Amino acid sequence: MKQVFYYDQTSKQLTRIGIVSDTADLPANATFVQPQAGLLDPLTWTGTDWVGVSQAVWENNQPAPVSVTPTADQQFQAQLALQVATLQQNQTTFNAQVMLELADLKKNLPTSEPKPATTTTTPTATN
Amino acid sequence: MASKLITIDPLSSTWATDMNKNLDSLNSDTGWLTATTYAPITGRLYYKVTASGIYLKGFVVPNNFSNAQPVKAATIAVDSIADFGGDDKVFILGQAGGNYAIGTLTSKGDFWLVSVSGAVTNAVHFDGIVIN
Repeated sequence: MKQVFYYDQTSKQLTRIGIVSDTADLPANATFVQPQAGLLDPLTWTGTDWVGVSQAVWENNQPAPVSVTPTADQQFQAQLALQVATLQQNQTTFNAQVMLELADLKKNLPTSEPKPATTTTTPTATN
Repeated sequence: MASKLITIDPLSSTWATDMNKNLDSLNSDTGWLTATTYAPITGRLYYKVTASGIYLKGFVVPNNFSNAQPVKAATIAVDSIADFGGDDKVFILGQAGGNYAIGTLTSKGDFWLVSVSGAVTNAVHFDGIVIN
């Protein structure tokens, strides 16, 4: 089996690649010559070899880049997410400050020693 | 994908020839062929077409590739032996460095590189890919 490279009758540009048996005759508008690597698509058959297009033509033929600009809804959602994240961060900072101040207050409180327990005896009347 | 088998009618005068053609189709294997690759993609990509599918091996390096713009990287034969069908095929490939790439194969045999997760200097590997 071997590859056969079909080209357009008018433009001579490569249209598709087929496979035929090793003993098959050359079909019309085709060649058994494989394009060398490193050519820029589309390829054109010169009658003896394949040639690619220039870099400028190739770049002009490329599909338009996909737009990465977010929609208005996506921008709004991103802003909301940012606000929520900021609020959470502020809340965490506030909680930490409160905990620190509580710790300081507890440290500064005067320590009062527990008083010993006093026992009272009630006199009993004797007859 | 399925083999291109000939329907053999009862009492057909060509049944023997048709039967041999069907057996040839079921056993068909092109052997490894070199895919036609295009700049700026470089590398070595091979394929073979069998009744059970198209097997790929080799790698390409996606030089100057941008995920915002798919690039036609290669063309292979898809319609000579097996029935490819009209829809494009999509597959995920391994890319060096623990990354991945996404490619599509059109019904005309054009392989487009759509996306890579790693650097464009990391090779995209095709070993083990079977399209069927």
